[in-house]
Amino acid sequence: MKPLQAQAEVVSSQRVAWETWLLGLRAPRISDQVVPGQFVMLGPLSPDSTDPFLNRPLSVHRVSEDGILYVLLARVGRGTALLAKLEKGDTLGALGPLGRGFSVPGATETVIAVGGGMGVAPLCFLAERQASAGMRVRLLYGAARAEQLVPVGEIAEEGVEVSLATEDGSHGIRGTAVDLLQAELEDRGQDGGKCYLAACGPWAMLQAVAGMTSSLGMPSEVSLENRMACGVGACLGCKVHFSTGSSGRVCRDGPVFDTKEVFGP
Amino acid sequence: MKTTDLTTDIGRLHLANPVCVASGTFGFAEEYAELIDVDLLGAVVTKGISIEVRRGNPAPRTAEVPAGLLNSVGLENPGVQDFIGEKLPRLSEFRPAVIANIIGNTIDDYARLSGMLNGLKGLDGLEVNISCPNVSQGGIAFGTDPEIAARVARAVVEETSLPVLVKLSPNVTDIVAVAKRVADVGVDGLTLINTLRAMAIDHETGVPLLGNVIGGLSGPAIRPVAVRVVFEVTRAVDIPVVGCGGIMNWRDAVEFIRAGASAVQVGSASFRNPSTCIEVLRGLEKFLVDNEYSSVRELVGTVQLPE
Repeated sequence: MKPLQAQAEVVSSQRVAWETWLLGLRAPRISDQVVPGQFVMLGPLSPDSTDPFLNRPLSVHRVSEDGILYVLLARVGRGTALLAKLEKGDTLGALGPLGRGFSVPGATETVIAVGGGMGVAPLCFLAERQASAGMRVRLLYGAARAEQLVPVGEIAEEGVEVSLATEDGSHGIRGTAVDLLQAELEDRGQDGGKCYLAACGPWAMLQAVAGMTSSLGMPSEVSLENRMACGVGACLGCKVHFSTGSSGRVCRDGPVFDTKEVFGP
Repeated sequence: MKTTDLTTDIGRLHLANPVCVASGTFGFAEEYAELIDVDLLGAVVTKGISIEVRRGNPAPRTAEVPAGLLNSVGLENPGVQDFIGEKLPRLSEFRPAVIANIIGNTIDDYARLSGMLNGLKGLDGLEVNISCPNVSQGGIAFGTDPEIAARVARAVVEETSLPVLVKLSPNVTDIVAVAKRVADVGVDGLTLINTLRAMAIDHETGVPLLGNVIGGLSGPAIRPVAVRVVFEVTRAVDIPVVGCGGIMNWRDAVEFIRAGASAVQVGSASFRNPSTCIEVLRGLEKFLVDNEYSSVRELVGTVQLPE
């Protein structure tokens, strides 16, 4: 599966939550190949534009049946603000699919996906694919407040069992995705072996999740985020040295890593 | 169809064409080989290689700035043994010349490294990095003093039979003085320029955008500086110069060649468009044919100065 460079056409852009856009792109050769957990570099906006100078890495959020590739975009700075201004019919560069996606073990019966904030982006794609492959899928999704929750109704219709949390209690339980996981694991008891867990979100959340899964012996993976320049493994801008002694380029060796590699056994 | 001769020589280093990729922006080529036809390039300059394995600088290592990029990767590299055993055999399967960018903590490091890399199959030249702004030892410390720069260059030349380029830093008062002294010790050419020391701060939080606080600025933001340096240095020394700094397209490459460069390196632009180097090559070739230059050499130094 080689990445490729394409011109993507914006087919839709919709504000779906606080400072968050859902961008639909037509980039058929990328959307045909991409697997959950992989990402695309979006940009340049035009060949000679230097604003922004670099492209932006964005997880693939969904691929629709008609091949439209969706990304979730949080407006956090100048580059993402320019992407958020894109309108239907605009074109821009797209590079992908990039990176290592999720590797769900063959014997898995239940997938638990734990997403914090924008970390939900790649998990929806994973959840949808695994649910349609016949697995039981739980999505545990937390955000700071209700208006920051990205709608996940469509994947719920595909059979994904969704639980929501907000830190201020404005929607779902009051708490975080970690609290949802705590409750989930207590309910499940010790059948960790047949479960696979995927997590994406703030570092502290991933660390907490790692602590909870390692004691259960549950196979798990985390998807990391980092600033990137190239997205293909050349610049080493996103290389991370983990406390385990292992290291990896988030863009090429990740963004999905075995949790043990990042946080230890 | 009319053709033009794209070959160029940097001293003893013969290149099939003048379009190369800059150190640190192209990995060890395999990262980009999935996306572009690397074989079309004139040369690939590797990530900086040191004797020892280097872990590099703390995150964040990159930050975007207007028309450019700050980086403080800090010369993270797998060390010379891994380069010789793993990277070079794969790199040498590509057609372009392979130039190893080398970095040391001491003059003796540069000499030892040059000796270790001498006579290896598939390696066509060395680029001596005395201009990295991102490490406390070595790098730029050697590039800012003309005498020390010349001593590093001489140490390398004495230990290798390969063509030697020296990559100079623009972070000096008088780069021509450095260039002249380095040219005197018998190197094949100069690469101009490395990144400019630079810094950016988040105005809200007051936190520097780079973990290393200060880093190197690259991209089109530095192109006019690089063009000026190429212009000034090529008028002062007799050895060829490889121009580098913010090349985004073939027009920029033509600008560098008119300023005096015999070849060019595409750097940060590969990050935003991996095909930049190939587009530069195609565009340059078309420009030469359209304007009836029989070779790229004819274009070198054709800046038209006011009377």
